[in-house]
Amino acid sequence: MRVLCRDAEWLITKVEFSDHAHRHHAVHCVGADDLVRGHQAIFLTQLDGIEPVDPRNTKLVKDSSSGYRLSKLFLEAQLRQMPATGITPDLVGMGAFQPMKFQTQTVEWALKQLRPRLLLADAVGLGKTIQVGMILSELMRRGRANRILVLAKKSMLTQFQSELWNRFGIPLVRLDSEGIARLRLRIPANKNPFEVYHRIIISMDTLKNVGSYRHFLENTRWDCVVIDEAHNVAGASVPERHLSHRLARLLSSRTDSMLLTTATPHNGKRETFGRLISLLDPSAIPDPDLRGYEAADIKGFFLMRFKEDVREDAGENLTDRLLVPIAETTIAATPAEEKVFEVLAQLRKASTGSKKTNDEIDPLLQYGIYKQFLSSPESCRSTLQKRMHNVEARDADSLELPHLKSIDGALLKLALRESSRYQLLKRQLKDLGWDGSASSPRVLVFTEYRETQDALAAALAADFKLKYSDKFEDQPEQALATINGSCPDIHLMKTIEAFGTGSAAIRMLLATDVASEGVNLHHECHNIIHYDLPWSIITLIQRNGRIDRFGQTEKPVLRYLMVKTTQVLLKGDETIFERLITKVEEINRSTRQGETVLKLYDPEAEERYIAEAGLLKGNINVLEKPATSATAEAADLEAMLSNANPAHQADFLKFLLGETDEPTAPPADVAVEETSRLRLYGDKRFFLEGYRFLAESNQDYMPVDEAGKLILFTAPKDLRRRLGAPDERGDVIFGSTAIPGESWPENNQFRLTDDAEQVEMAIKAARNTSGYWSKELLCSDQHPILQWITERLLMLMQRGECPLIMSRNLDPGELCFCFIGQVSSRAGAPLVVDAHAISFRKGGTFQHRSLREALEAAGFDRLINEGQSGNLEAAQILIPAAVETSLQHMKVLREKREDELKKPLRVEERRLRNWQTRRRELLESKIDQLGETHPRARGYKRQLEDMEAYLADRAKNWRDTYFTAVAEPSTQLLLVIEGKN
Amino acid sequence: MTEQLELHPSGLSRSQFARLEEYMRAADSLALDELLNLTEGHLERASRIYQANRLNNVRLAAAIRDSIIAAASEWENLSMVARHWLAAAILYFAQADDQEPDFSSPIGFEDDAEVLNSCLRFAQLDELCLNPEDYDDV
Repeated sequence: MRVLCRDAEWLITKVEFSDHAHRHHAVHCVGADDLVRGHQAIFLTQLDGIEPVDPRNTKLVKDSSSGYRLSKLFLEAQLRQMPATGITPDLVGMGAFQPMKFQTQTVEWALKQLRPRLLLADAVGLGKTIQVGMILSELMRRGRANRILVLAKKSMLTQFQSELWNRFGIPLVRLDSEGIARLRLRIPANKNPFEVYHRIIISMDTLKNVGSYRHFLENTRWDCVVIDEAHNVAGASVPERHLSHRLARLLSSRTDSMLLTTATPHNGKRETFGRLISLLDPSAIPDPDLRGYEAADIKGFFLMRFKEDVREDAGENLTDRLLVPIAETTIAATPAEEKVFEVLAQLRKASTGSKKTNDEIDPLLQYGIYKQFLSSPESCRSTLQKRMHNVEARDADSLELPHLKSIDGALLKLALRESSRYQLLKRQLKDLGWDGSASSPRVLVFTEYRETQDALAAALAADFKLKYSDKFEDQPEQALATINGSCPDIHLMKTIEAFGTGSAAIRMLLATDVASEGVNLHHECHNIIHYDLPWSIITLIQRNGRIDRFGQTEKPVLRYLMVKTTQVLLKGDETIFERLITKVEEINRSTRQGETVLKLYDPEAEERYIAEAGLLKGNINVLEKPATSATAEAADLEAMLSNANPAHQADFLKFLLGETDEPTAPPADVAVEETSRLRLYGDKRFFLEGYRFLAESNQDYMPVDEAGKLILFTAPKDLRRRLGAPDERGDVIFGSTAIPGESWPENNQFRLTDDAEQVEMAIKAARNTSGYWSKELLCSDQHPILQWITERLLMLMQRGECPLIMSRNLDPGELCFCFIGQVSSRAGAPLVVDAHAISFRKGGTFQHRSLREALEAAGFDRLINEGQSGNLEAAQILIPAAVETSLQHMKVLREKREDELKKPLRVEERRLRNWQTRRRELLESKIDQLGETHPRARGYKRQLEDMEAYLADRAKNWRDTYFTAVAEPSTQLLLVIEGKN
Repeated sequence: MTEQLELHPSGLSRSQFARLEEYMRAADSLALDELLNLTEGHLERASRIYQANRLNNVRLAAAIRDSIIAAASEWENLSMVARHWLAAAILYFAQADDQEPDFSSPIGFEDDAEVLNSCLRFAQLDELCLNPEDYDDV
């Protein structure tokens, strides 16, 4: 039932007695009009006046606007705020991007799920963020993404935020370390910061390090939680102690939808993948240790695609890359370096010749110092000296010391600037035409070590006469910039943004692995140089993926710098390094193995393995087969994932739904589908006409200008306040409409267009000039400015009033009542929304049709206002009958929808019950084996209780919230059209 | 009687069986007619609730009632033990708040069907067993 209270409209969800005498009630409500939509409130009848909203009492008002603009815009605004309910994605006008088939399939699958929960495990660089944006857009249209929380790595915050804003018009408020500090100053200490804004992006580090947020997070619910690079929340060996994992689990229990993205969904262990799946749905895997599961348990929860799966779709968005032949990027060591290599060779001989096993000798001695020297003398010396210091303190007679001292002595005369590797780098830069000036191409240089990075930056600055400071805040402004793990999030994001901006001064980015995951560095750069070589396939794939990714328009060029030594003992290493590079290219070209070729799943494990099983043993075939230490478990897991992965199926939706040739889901209601996106105006026309209409009665609304496809529009004060303009700092903006501060335009002038390609060009142009933020935005339904116009237009009519207009196209005397009806779930989520019209004609006949048909019949588009007042009284008298017919129609639709939902809900409930039975059996048998008093048995008992609590919560907060319809549908009279002669 | 009841229906989960045993003791004092009245009453309630919540599987509830009536028509031919267990299964059906709450869960009668099937098999009335998924269609 809908009620009016405190001047807003509410939907009642529950009523309880609020006093012992049972005279008063507590009325639980959820907001139903634009001011309070989605808000939950409890009103006490002894304090608040609560009146039922009855559409039968709607008062008709004559529309005297010219061309019936008022009615047309009011109706359009009503249609625009009407939620979609179908399950087919509608990509028209969704955003500025070219959707690929594989991306659309992701959205289709998400919408087909009763509860969209998905692990998106596509390979590096296949546009996972775009797919997240598409899913969020569709959920927003369905009223299921009002509250969004995105968790990303600190280096990714701005990038993610700007992608969603530029391409989809979805505004996320970034709570980085600075943002959260600012916010806390502006709100009372006990106010939940996560309820101030409705759409937030925050880094996992910020969230997990501030223990005091847990309380706030436990008291807030989300519609959709997105976790980017989700492998970071899979939990380490003891997940209970892993803060990020615990946080992710908490969020999972507080949200309706959940999207996890990662290119590395597991590390070869069943439980890590199992943990990610159980984050999506705790009821997927019965085994409490998350190890025992089958393909059927995890099918449908993840999508995993590789380049070769999508190559056909992606076309020009994936370019083939070029590896500069290794011979051209190899140089001979200098005589001074050869001396160090000689000592290092002796050290390796001594350490490998020892009777001790590999585990007993420090890897640093066996190959660590060597690897450091391959990077730079500075890096090597720094490690060496720390080591000598430690060894001397521990055991002054250690056999290690003479070796260390001899390396140190040999290193004394060496510096990176004179090293062969550095000379090779300079030669490569020359080949590239790079001299640090503004005309130099952008280059991304990776190195393993901080000391190398420092020495390299100093040497380059001196040789190319570049001004260089190592202060974090100076990096975005310099031709030569460095980033590493110690860089605070704000400066890191700014430097990465500058590197993707054409006009920025930055010419070279010297990066350590802080830049190797997720970030986009491909917009203005297609040259990558690996100054030294990480001994890991995973790291190399991640690094190359920064520029070789979806949307790269130039051919990526890769250079691996190599130094040759004449030391016989180290000779085999060169071959292994070359094979490592070749392997990475081979994987890129042809296989689906992705990063799992050695089946070690961890860069450090790969490094150790390549060193110990390859370099130390002189085994040049080390990369040809999976590591001997890799377990059968990893191979089994991969085989199972491949079986359960829908991406390899010809028709993956059918596969996921377990369908054969006949669809099991009943076809969607065609009438509802058609009208769910009924529009009388295009987005741009709606904006222009709506705004101009509003401007007529608001003097401070500046005129809008049109320039070609562009609309130039100066935001008036009320909009500036609503969108959180930088000059409106006095207020905290509550709600979901605050837009990213950096995207705020100069002079408050927004540039909107309905041409998605133009926006894509503007995004590129922004990269050339100013950074992440596009100056032109898509004029789309979900853009906060259009939402503002929509809401302003809805206020053109008083509550409980509706316009009456005349049409010569209807039969004389016909009265056509236009409605939007809705059936809500108990929590107010729309289950059925339908726009329809009921016509009464002379002679007592009546007709029911879709609103689309009725408006066409009335020639609504072309109507002109001839000033006749119409038969207000007769129309007014017929309203109750029209409302009754509309409600009857909605009841039929409700029953139809419930019938449609029966099958999928029963399938889901059966799955849950099966999980419950299997889990209970497993837990009870474990308890029986251990004996009831065993500490671990007590843990299992707790898990039994948790399971019951989870199932009860799921029934209450999911099934009843989203799928159990309230008994009475509601309807709203929007417009009455009267036929005349 | 305890000795007799060492023979019992199989294929049920621990909690289902524990509940069934409990109902068996309660059913001891009820005549077949009373049990059948309870069955009819429960089905009527399900039909009423279906008007407000169509997710309720009233079709399966009706099928269970039919199976119970068919089993009752064989009552005289059943062993004492089988009658006891079947009476318990009927009582299980007549209770709304069992393992899957009958009226609030879309699969609220499936545990009732499982329990009844198990007892029907025990009574060698396999032909009366039900497959819940056959009653999914609208």
